[in-house]
Amino acid sequence: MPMGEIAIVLVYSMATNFLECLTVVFMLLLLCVILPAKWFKEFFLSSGSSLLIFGLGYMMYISSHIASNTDSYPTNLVRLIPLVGFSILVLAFLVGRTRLLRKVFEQLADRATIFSYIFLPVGFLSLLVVVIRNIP
Amino acid sequence: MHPFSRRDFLKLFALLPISTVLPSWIKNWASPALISQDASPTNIIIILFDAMSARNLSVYGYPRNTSPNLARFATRANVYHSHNSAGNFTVPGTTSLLTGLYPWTHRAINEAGLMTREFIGQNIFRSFEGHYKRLTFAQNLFAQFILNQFDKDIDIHLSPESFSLANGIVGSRFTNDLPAADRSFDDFLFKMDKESSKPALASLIFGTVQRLFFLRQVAAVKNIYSQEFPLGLPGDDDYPIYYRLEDVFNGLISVVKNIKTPTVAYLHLFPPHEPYRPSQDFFAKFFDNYTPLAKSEHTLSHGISQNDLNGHRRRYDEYIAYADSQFGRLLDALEQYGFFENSIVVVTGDHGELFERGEQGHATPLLYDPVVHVPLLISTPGQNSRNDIYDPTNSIDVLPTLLHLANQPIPSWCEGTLLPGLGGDYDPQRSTFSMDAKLNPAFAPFKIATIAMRKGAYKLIHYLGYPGAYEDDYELYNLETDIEEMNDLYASEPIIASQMRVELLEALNAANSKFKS
Repeated sequence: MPMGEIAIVLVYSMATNFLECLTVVFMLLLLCVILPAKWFKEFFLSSGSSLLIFGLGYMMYISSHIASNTDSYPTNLVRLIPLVGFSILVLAFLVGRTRLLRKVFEQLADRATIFSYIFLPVGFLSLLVVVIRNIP
Repeated sequence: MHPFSRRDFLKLFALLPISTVLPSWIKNWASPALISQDASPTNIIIILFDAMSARNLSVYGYPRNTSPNLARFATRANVYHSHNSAGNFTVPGTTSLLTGLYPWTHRAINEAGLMTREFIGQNIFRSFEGHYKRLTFAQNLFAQFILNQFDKDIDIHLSPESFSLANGIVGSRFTNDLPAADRSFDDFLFKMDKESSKPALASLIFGTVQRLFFLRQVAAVKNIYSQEFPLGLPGDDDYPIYYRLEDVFNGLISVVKNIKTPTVAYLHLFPPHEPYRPSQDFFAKFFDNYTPLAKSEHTLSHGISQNDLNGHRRRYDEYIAYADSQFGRLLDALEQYGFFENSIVVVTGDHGELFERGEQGHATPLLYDPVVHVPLLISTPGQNSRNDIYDPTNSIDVLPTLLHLANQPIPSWCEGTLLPGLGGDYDPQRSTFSMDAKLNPAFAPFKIATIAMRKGAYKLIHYLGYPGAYEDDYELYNLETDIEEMNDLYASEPIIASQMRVELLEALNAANSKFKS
């Protein structure tokens, strides 16, 4: 593929991932609003980052399963989603309550912040490029 | 200064009517072909069946009755019996058909590859620019990527999922940036990988959610049609589209019915490409006594057993028969609406399919006749008799011939020539080429490839650069006396072999020369 085409695919990818990030952040904020403050809001950094890591890990598991099975609807996998989702939520709550785990996830989140300095502007710019390219 | 008088005004006013006809005079003077075009507008309808080998069609003498409707169409068409595709899979085959260029020129030689940017303007749709509406539909995403390159030259570009029952195509929603969106979403971010060497979809969240919704849609549709399609709904293994051919042809009939004359329509249908999924009416249609000739396994094959090959072939034949039955409905519609009186109708394939020597499919280095020998039937306006032509022809000849038939100028860049019987000379000794270079980098000389050269009755196959075996090897066959390509004449016919080898290598060197600097 020529470099220009690769760059365009990258732009679409970055824009899509930027929107995915916004969706995830929005869902975390929604949880903060819905759940009692003591459950989630007070330990937002550790609970939020653990929820994100476990949640994305589970998404990867689902994704790898369905990406290789083009035809069949994964009924059992889908049935388990609420249960696994609830378990992850409980796990995230426990992370916020356990001092050592809380520290680990806070440190992890702290170090991961550096990526947002790169990713946010690039993602936003990519989204802008996609929007401009799609103006009739 | 002389004042502008009333007389001057009247003089100018008298000249005004001339100004309305002057531009068309100039245009017609500059391009005389357009005059006759205006006089008798002609539609051009190209119907392409993906992976349809001429060797499996009863209209070309196959023992199973796979194509009665193509045979019906042949009664009013020029039927080309030695027509080869320039490529052995969708990307090079389709690109050569639509550009009149060999794969070693346009360089769309890799799977999911694209043609070189400098040749993008050299396509059939640009060639018909001006008077003609240009309409396209490709169910095969690889063909869609090629059509996307010509997007600026296409007036109506139907998306691949049109007329489908279930689909997960995303890119076609971005109509203003179709090429980039198709590539990004359907070939990368949301692409499933059946081989599954990659752990997950590139778009983890949207992609996964979208896939789940799509699979749910597919499950519902499959439930409805499980009786009608015992092997599953027709679709594409690489991309998420499922359909019934009945719906696809209903859609095409309605599209064709409403086209505005003159139009160039390119309709690229996925069947009978693998997976072979005939409907119940055609399932088990060919459980018969036909036994294809068993051939010894080729070193470069996948080593599939003869029994399995025969089973795959039977399903393929059934799928062809199913596609042919639906083509019959389109044929009826074309007759009913009078298209055969004012249209050129072309039926062809982009490549064939192989079921022999331990190999099944088409993206193979084995360029035997079933892989490259594709149907070509062309009906001209008002034609009511069959004309059989046996001279070797190639997919690169279709573009110049259609331009010639429509009284349009043939561009100098075109590598094909006019088809015999439709303005071209009968030349049995003309050399044509087919090639497979999917493992070769697109922008480098051919170092790993198979090139087949057809000249008269003979066909020379050159294997180049396959590590361990076939690093620089040749096979020679006489297709008039040995259509099954059983007797390699390379050693026993040294003069013919040598002459053809020199010609093939000269052509290859010329194609490679642009990369030497």
